[in-house]
Amino acid sequence: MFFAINLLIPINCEGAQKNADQVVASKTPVSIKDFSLQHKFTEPVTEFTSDTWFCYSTWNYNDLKSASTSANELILKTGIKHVYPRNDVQLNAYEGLSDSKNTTGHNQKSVNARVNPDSSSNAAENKTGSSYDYIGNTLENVYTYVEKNKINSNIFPINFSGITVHNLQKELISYANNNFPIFLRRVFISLIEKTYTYPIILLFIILIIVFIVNIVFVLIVIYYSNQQKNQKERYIRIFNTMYEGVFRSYLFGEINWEKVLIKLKKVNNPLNRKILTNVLLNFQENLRGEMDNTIPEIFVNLGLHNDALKLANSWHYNKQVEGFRQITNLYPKGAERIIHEYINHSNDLIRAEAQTSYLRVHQEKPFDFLRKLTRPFTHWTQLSTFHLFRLHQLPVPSFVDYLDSEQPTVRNFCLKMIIYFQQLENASEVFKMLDSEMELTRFLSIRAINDLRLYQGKDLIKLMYPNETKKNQIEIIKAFKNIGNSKDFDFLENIIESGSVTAKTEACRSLFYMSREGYEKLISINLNDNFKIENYIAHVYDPRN
Amino acid sequence: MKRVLVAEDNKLILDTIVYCLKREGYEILEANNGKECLKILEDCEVDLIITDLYMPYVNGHEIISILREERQNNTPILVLSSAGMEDNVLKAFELGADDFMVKPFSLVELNIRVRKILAMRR
Repeated sequence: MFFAINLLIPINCEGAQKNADQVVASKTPVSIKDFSLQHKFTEPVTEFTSDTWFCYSTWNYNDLKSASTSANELILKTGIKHVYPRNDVQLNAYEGLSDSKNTTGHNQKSVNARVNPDSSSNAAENKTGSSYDYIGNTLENVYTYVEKNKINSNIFPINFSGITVHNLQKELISYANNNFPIFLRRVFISLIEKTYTYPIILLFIILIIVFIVNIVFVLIVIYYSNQQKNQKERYIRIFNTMYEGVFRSYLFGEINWEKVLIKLKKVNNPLNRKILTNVLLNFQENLRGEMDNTIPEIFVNLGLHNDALKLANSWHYNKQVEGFRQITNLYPKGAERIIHEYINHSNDLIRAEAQTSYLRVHQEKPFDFLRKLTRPFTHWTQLSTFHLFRLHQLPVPSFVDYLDSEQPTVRNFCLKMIIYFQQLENASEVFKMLDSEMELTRFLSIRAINDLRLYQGKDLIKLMYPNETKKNQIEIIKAFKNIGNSKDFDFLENIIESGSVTAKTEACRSLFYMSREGYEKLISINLNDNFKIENYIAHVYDPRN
Repeated sequence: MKRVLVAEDNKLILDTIVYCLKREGYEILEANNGKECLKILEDCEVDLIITDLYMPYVNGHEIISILREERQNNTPILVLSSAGMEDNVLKAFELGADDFMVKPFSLVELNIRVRKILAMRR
C-alpha cells in the first residue's frame, strides 16, 4: 500500500532556485496522459525519478508564493485534491528523492504532459500504468515544513490521516488556549504534544476510549436484560397465581368449565401456555386420587397436548425430554404411542426419559421395555425407574422373565430386583447366571443364592470357588453362613487353613453363625495348634463387626 | 375452631392444602419454610402441624426434633413429603411424628387423617 503525498517539489533548473507544484508522486510510473485526461489538466508536467519514486510536477515558479497561488488555482480548476507547492529545500528533505548526480537530487525528465492524445512523444513516454499510487512521507517532515514555512494548510492537504490529525491537534490546542484555565491548559497542551510526538500514546488513548465505550455498552445491555428478565418473572408469577386459583376452584367444584375458559386470560400466548402446562404438571405431580383424571382432561381440553407432542418431536434433546415429561404425566395416551420409539435412542438423556416414561405409561407391564433394550440400561435410569416404581406402587413383575436379555446391565438389574423382592420362583434361571462371563453377574447370582436361601445352588458355588475372583470367593464363603451345613465344614476348614485374611475371617463368621455344630467346629479348630484363629474369632464375636 | 399450621415450600401445594382445610372449617396458619414454622410456633399454639420434610433453612426432621426434644411440644405432627423412602419414614416416626403421607397424595385422604389425628388428640 502506498500512501499518496503529493508533495510540491521544487525544481532547480540551471542552478537557479525554482519552485514547483507537485501533482502526483508514485512508486510506479504514472500515465500522465490518463491523469491529464482524467483531471482535464493541460499544464506541462515534468517527471522526476529516483531509485524508488516517480514524481510529476509543474514547474518554473519564481517563488513559493506564486507556486502556492498556482496550486490553489489548479485545485479549483482541475479538482485534483493534492497539489503542493514546494521549494528546493523541501525537495532535499523529501525522503527517497535524493540523487547524488543532480543538485536538486533528481533525475529530471520532461514528460511533456500537454494534453494531446496524438502526440507521439506522449505515446512514447507515457507509462502504461493506468492508475497512480501515492507515496507516504513522515508526519514529522510535513509538520516541520508547515510550521517553518507557515504555509496555508488549505493548500497543503496530505492524503493520509496525518494532516487530518494535525488539524485536530491545532484545534485542540486552540480550544485549550481559549477555554481552559491556565494550570489545566499547560497539562493539556503538554499531553497533546506528547501524544503527537509519540503516536503510541494516541493509540492507548483510543484504546481506553474504546474500552470505556465498550463497558458502557455492556452495562446498558446488562441493565436492560435484567429489566426484561425481572419483567418476565413478574409476568410469570402473576399468571401462575391466577391460573392456580382458577384451576383450584374448578378442581374443588366451585366453578364450571365455561367459567374457567372465561377466567383464563391469554390462553393463546405461547408463554402463557407454558405457564398453564407447568401449573397442571405441578398439580399432577403432587396430587392424586380424584385429580388423576381431571387434570389430564383439562390439559387436553385446552389443547396443550398438541404443544407437548410438538416438544416431544423436537430436534433439540432438552425440549424432547421436557415434552416426554409433559405427555407422560398429562397425556398418557399420546405418550403410549410415541415413547417406545425412543427407548433405544442414541442420546442418553432422551433414552433415560423415554424408559422412565414407559414405566409410568405402561402400568400393567412397566418393565417390558427391558426386553427391547439394545443399549445399556444405565445406573441412573435403574435408580429412577426403581424409585418411580415404588412411589407409584406399580405391580411387581417377575424379573426372572428378563434374565435372558442380551444386555448384561439388564441382567444385573433383574438379579438385584429378584434379591430385593425375594422372588424365589424359577431359581434355575438364577443358577444359569452363575456361568456368565461377567464377574458382576456371577457375584449377584451368588448373592441371590445367599439371600434367597437357594440351597440347591450350594454345590454349584462350591465348585466355582477355586476359579473365582477374590470378590466372588468372599461372597461364596458368606453364602455358607445361610445355606451351609455340617457337610461344608471341610470346605470352610480348608479356607481357614490356607486362605487370605478376609477369606479366613468370613469362613470363621460363616461357621460361627451357621449353626450350633458350626460354632463347635470353629472352637475345635481353634484348639488345634496348627490354626491360630483366636483373633479371627474375637473379630467375629465383636458385635461392632 | 381447630388451628392447623401448614409448613410447605411448594406454594401451589401449600395453597391447595390451605384451601382444602379451610373448606373443612379449620383455621390455617401458613409457613413457607422451617424457620417460619418454628417462629410461628413460638408465638402461638396450634392443634396440628402439617410439615414437609425437605424445606429451606430448617427441614422437617429438624422441626420434629426441636419440638419434641428441646421445646417439649407434644402437638401432633403429620409429615407430608415426596421423600417416601423407608429411611425417611422411619426417622420421622423415631423423632416423634404422628403420621406420614407420601406425595402425590389425595386431598380426601389428607382430610381423613387430619380429622383422625385431631379426634385422637381430643
